[in-house]
Order: sequence, then structure tokens, then C-alpha cells
Amino acid sequence: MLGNRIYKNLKMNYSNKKIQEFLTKLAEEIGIVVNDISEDSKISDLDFDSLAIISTIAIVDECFDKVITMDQFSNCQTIKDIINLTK
Amino acid sequence: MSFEKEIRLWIVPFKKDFLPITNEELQIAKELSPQRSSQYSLTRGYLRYVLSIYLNIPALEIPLNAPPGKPPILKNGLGEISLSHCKDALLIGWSQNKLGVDIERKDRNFNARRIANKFFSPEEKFFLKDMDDEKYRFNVLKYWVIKESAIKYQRGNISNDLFHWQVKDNFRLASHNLLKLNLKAYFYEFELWSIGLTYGESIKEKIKKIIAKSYN
Repeated sequence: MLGNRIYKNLKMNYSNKKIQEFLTKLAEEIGIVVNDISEDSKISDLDFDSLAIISTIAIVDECFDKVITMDQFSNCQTIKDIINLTK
Repeated sequence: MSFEKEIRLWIVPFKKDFLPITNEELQIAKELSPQRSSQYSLTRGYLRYVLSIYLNIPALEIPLNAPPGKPPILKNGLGEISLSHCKDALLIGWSQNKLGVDIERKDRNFNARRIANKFFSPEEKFFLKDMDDEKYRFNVLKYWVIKESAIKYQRGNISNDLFHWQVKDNFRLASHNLLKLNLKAYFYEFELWSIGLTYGESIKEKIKKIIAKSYN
């Protein structure tokens, strides 16, 4: 039981680390301060052109080892939606 | 209406003024997010303005179908168009034949190595191999605008097609390795911007002029 709890905490910490890594790389790519971006940030409020979208797809692959498509990206409203595609 | 055998490029630096668009376009703009709505209204207004001068047709009467995110269509045999914009300029390409265009700011900052590592061919990566960071970035941007323009010509999709378009022959040819499609490619630097242009290799008419103008 305790072992399971420890395992779940470790898994959550690892997941949070990956998300933070993703947000940091994404902020750098679109040219904003990392404190100005969060999982709740709306994509329509950020400066995403096709080069930024492709870069985001590459960053998702780097951070989460998952490949997402342009179509999947275009259905995302928030950064959280992008992260949820990796689960 | 007869046209000269040319590809015409207009580079239109964005100004704050919105130019007239149709009621249908106004309606479409209302349904977009504020940022996209502004971008859509601005680009369609300038497109109509530029074409009205070249085609000698009132701006709002130009038979243009250009919904957001879709390839623009000019009806009634008035030619083919391609559009691209960056944060401060619109690029309009016109020809009697299909074409694709793309524009980026020359000083666009991005992680060039990330893009090249994931999406470029072994030959392209080899070409970039020993370049310093700035030259690497500049050449990846050069590849990028040509590939983007080729994807627009193809009416394709960036995430599906980017890897399949290869730029060859000293940036003069773009080839899709699955579709077996070859396009002529041109790269221009004009003032603050990098421009890519692609059009059909099989076009028999000679291209007389390629004109880039900026409207202030």
C-alpha cells in the first residue's frame, strides 16, 4: 500500500518535471518568459504560426516521446490540451 | 482578360488601417478569435486591394474565395493565387498557373537544429552540418520557406508533408518523394523578409518576370 503510494508520487513528480520541461522549451520557442505560460494558457492568445506549431510538435516528441499531428494540434484550445494528447 | 506570362509577387507591410472586405468575409471574421479575426480581415482587405489594381476590378467585386486556413481561390479564370503572412507583412503570389509562396522575417528566431533534426532529409542535414549557428539558422529558414511554399502548392499538410518535401539543386528544386512531384523553387531576400516560391516544373510558358513590390 505504502509502496503503491510512493510509486504514484514518484510518477507524478516525474510527470510534473516533464510538463515543466515542455513549458520551458515552448516559452523559449515562441519568445515569451516561462512565467507567462502555463497549462491553462490559451493557444489563441499565444503567437503560434506554422513554424511555431511544427516546433511544438518537435518539442512534444522530445519531452514526451510522442508524435502528434497538425490536425490534433488544431483541435487544442489550451496548452493542457496539447499535454493531454501525450497521455 | 489576357495576362502577361509572369509570376507576380506583392509584399505588403502591414499597416493599422483595415481595407474593405465583403459582408461574407466580415461575417467569417466575427466568428474567429480576436487575434485571428484581425489577421483575417487585414490580409483579405489587402489582398482585394492589390488584386483590384492589377486586375482592374473593384476590390469587393473580385471573385475571391479565401476562408481562413484554406487555399485561396480566384474564380472566373483570373489566375491562381497563394498567400502567406508573417507578423508584419503579407505576401501575395499571382500567376496564371498554380504556385505556392511563403514569407518569414529574416531575423526570425527559432530552434533551427530542432527543426532540421526532426524534419529534414539526410542530404539536407549534411548540407547544414558544419555551419555556425547563424548560418545554420539562415539556411534552415531558407529550406523552410521553400518547403512551406511547396506544401501550399500541393494543398498539403505541414505535419504530413514536411518530411517528404526535399529541397535540392542549390535551392532551385523541391521534390516530394512520395508523390513524385517536382517543383521549381526560388528563394528571395527582400528588405526584412525571406521569401519562398514554388511552381510547376512542367509549365511550358517561359516566365518573363518575377516582380516583388512593397506598397507603403
